[in-house]
Amino acid sequence: MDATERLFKQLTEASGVPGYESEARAAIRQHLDPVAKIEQDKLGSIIGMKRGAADSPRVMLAGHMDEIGFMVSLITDEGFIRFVPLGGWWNQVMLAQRVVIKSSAGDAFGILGAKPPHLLDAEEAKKPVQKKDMYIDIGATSADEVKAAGVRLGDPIIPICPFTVLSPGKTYMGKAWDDRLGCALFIQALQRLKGQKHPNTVYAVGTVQEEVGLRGAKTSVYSVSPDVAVILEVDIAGDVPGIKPEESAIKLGKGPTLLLYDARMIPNLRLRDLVISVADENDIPLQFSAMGGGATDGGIIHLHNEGVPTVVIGVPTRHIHSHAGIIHRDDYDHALELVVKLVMRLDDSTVAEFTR
Amino acid sequence: MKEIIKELTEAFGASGSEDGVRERIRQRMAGRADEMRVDPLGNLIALKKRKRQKGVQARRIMLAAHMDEIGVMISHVDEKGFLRFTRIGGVRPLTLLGSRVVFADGTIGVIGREKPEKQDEFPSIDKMFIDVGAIDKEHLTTKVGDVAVFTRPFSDLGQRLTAKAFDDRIGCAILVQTAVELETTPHDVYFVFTVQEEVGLRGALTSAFGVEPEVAIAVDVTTTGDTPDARPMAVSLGAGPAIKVKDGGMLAHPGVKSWMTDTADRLGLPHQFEVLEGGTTDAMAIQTSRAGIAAGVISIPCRYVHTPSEMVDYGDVQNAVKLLVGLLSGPADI
Repeated sequence: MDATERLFKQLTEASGVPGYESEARAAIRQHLDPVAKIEQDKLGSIIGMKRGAADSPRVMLAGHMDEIGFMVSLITDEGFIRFVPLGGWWNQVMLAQRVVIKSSAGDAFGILGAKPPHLLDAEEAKKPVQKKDMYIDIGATSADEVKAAGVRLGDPIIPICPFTVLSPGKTYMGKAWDDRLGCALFIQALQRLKGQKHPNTVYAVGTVQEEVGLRGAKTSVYSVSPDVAVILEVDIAGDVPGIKPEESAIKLGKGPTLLLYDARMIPNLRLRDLVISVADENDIPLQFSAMGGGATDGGIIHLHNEGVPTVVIGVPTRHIHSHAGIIHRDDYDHALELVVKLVMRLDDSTVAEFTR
Repeated sequence: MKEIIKELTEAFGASGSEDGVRERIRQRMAGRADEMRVDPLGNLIALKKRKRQKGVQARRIMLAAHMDEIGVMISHVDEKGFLRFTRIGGVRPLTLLGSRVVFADGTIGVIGREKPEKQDEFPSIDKMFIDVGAIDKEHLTTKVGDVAVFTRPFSDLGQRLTAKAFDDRIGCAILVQTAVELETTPHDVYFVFTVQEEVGLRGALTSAFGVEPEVAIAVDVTTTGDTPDARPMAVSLGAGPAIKVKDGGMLAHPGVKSWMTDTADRLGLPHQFEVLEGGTTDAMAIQTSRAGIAAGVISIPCRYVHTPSEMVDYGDVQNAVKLLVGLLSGPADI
């Protein structure tokens, strides 16, 4: 494994459901420390400041640290665990998946229980099971055994999926690409900017609680007060059976994406056009997406104070919001190149021009 | 004033692409304001400074009308050059079929549909496409991310007017005309032409933060109850500008409401009260900005809102201007 793969392994395997991001944050801090001055806001977002050749403009690179997961809401008398989802889950991708509960006494492993097909009647077999009817089995036979394992109400529950390099060699499987990939991008972007005279000051921000409503973005943008923001995210790859090109034409391996429209943000058009020309000039392939649904931290950040010119750069990811997603190394490398080249262009006069 | 209305309604300006509308308004406002600036989100903020008037406490007053209109954005281009799209703001499938749209570069597109499962079935947006008359994909200049709006000329029907985008270019035109007619004011009046209202009051949020007004008035359209078999609503075309009491997103500040009512009574201007079930305006976002702002709305009754042919009454428009001039000429002690 090279440095990037090791970083992916460490970041995606760290736990960090919304509100419980400390493990992911510690991993990110370890990499930001040598290249930036670190602060943490009072909701838990981490901010790494790297001064270039000028104090301004203030450039915010944001990725969210949290991943989707669950939280223990009830322990039944029989020793099963009911939960509430943290973030957007579709019930069909949940059953029989492995999870780990981070309890006060350590890790308790379990699965989301599913009724064996032998016992399903014809009607039941056709219907998706509702989330409220699901439970987690940690192998206990009573509530006392669950308590003895240290599991308490409020404990976070995290999907299990070890980082795996897939057979073709350039694709990787893992959990939490959404949005540890964005965190990897701002970490490696700062590393690449080290020793370079970038004409600005960069704030790399790992936000908390994006998946439950862009909450970390709200407080961290206040701390940073940026002049321009670049959101680093995953985007939905549509190159799988069942997704029509008109739903998503994004393909793995064809380059990072530029988000033209989502439910919560229209990007600043001049900044958007600068991203396109930076990609052109550097022969970086770029794909475009426009979605009526979905949103990113940009939805909050671009409305801060009097407004902040903002774009979203995404890395195509298959199967997001499930236990395991798949990404392509070329897309990541190109996204990193694009972010670094873009930051080098963001000087005072260029940024002022966005809002002229 | 009809000339301003025609120019502004026929301009291109979907949410996020308001530059063309802003330029036209900027030209119209030149010489009418003491300062003009554009905030980072794209709102045009024009300040007319106060002239001291004895016995009147000067206030910071924000007037808001949104420049953006609903539209569509290209999300996919197929091999033959047909364009799939997503909607920007509250575009309804019912109004799209058979319509024409225009892109920023002037390209015209026709809305077509896939074959229906059942005769007379109405298609959802994802079963529709835009046809710009491309021979094939190679000759197409339109690309993913491009934005289009309805194309429809302004028509003067005499007392009534019809056009696309009265929502809310009529509000913009009223603000411009108010700036023309308002010779002096004892207040600092900020004429704010906002962006991105149709996708969630986004421009109002940042401009209210920047202006930090004491009192705010949004000028926007409201629906009516005066057409055949309409949903019951006590608002009609021609009965005067409507003073908002409530809509789906806000309760108007009682002080602002009575300021408007008293002024209209004093000037003998016709007016009506508006209680709207759904929908809201920029005033909702302004009201909750910073530590809270006293906000109200002057609504222009409008039939067929969010269709290519909206309709307003010219008398209502003129009376809205008179009401605003009256409000801004005297005390504003809410």
